[in-house]
Amino acid sequence: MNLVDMNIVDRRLKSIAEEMGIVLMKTSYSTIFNEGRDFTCGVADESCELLASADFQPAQVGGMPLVVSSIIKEIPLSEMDEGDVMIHNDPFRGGMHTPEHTLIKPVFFEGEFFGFSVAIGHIAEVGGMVPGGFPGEATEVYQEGLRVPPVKIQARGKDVEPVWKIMLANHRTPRQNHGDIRALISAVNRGESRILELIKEYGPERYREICTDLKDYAERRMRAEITSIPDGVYSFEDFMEDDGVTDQAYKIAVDVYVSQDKIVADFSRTDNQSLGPINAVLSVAWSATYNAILHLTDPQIPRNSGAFRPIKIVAPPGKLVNADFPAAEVGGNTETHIRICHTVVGALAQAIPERAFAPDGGTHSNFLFGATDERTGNYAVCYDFTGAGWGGRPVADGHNATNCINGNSRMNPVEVFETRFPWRFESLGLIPGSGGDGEYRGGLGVNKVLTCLSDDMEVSFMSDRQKIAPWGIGGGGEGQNGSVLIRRKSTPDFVTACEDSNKTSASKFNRIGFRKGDQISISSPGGGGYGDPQERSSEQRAKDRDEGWV
Amino acid sequence: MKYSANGLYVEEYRKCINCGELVYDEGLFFTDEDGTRIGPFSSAWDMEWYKGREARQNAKGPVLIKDWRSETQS
Repeated sequence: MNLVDMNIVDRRLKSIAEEMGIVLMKTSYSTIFNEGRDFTCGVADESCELLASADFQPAQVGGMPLVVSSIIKEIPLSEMDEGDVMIHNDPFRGGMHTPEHTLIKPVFFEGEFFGFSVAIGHIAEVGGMVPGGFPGEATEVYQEGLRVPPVKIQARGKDVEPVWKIMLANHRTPRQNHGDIRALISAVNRGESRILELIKEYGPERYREICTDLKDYAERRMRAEITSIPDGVYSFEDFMEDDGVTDQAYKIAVDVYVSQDKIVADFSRTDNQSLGPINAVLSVAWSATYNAILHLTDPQIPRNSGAFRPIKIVAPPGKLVNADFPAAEVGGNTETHIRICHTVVGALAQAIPERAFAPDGGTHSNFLFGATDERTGNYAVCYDFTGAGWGGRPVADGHNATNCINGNSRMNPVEVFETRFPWRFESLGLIPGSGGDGEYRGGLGVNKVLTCLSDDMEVSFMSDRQKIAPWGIGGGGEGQNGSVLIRRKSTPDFVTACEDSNKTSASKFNRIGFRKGDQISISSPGGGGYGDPQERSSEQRAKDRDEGWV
Repeated sequence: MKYSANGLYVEEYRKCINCGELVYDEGLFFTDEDGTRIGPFSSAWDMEWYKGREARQNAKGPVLIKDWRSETQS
């Protein structure tokens, strides 16, 4: 093993993935890509193992090997040619949730296969029962949008037109989606050309050797990290507060077995899958568990499949963490991922409290809407999210207004949002005091109030943490819950969706009609606190007050 | 996974009853004391882990975990 070459190739592969993401961001049409950056790009080898990914969406990284390998199960290599691009979003065949579309392009160097250029992106409108693809009251996957099994969308560099036509006929915003899918294709094209440059530079044999070394190195580093965790069984439980259809809370329970240099995360005690759309599928359970462990271990470990080898995930079928077809599942990747991830952190915090951290606000406050924009006459659909408070850490307070642990995405800037969509911002700001108390305080949630500027606006919502607060750690206090409230133009008070429209859940609901002048107030939760509040210094508390954090 | 004979659709999403991974071939099975066929499993490791649930719950102290790498399906 040549460490110098290995490190150079590692960084080069990561920069390829980053460049792919920049291409995607700059060429896409929707705000979820060009502002939110809700995508991930990566490089996989010929055995579908992940070689590198960029720092975009953690939700999509851990599941990438599973989704790529599931495509190969259905379109074998013998049927792939240079210039082919495959697309796939089926959550029950290795995907993450219905909006998440994976595109892969095989890389051939002088006719020999070397792996894949991979881009995964959240398409903001995929058909189904609500504009924006997050029906909070769905009870089966068919209601959540068009499922696309692994198929070629380009063959030998040319569009497979029937696939495009079927997909775009089932989306409410075909022009935007056409642009976004082209952007995903541009990303995998850029990845392919850069990977080919790298293979040419090092030579095919040497490139393969280095990639093998890189994965083995990541594995050794992860095994060494796990070895430093005391052997034992660490258990933890948390809850999703309801599923949008019933008022029942769902338990996520994990038993984390640490033995020498291996970890088994066993979710067998988790509740059975829900009726409503908070179910996670297997790739979400994988991503969330890897996400937790990557947060608790050395960030210098290369994030490739080698780092995942010492970790085994047991997620029995029919559980909330691995729902069976045809369960509704769209909230699993955004909301339940967070809960799975922090449940694993909560378990391992018992073994390594010095590395653990309190949970973030635990929801992306997914705000979906569709309406005609009178300024343009166009029908606009948006998937918008709001940052929450992050949990306190052993060394610092939690971040404020930051996308939750599986997101790493950005909020839409006010100016872009008002230009693109028929809403007007009345206010946007941090919520003082929303972070849990502690030696290190939880970060603050966000409140925004918007006024509707359209008469045919339909709003849906997918969130959580309105009833069960983000917990503290090591004696830290709970973060403040979030809320979604509606005020009609003719009424003085904000009320919940249950009060306004007789919905079962105030956090997950479908298509509430808004007219001009109606308002929505979205508050995201604060993060949990870390450590005994008595340990927070009087100087720090005075600063908190003077600067308006509490 | 059980595909239709014409290969155009999925007839059954078949998963390992331990780890939950999709099982593309027949998978592994065992017969319990009552004569019931239990499975499918995607690997011998998964079968062993499934059988060992009760023993792990009653175990005092850390549980030694066997490596799964050579046994899991590709």
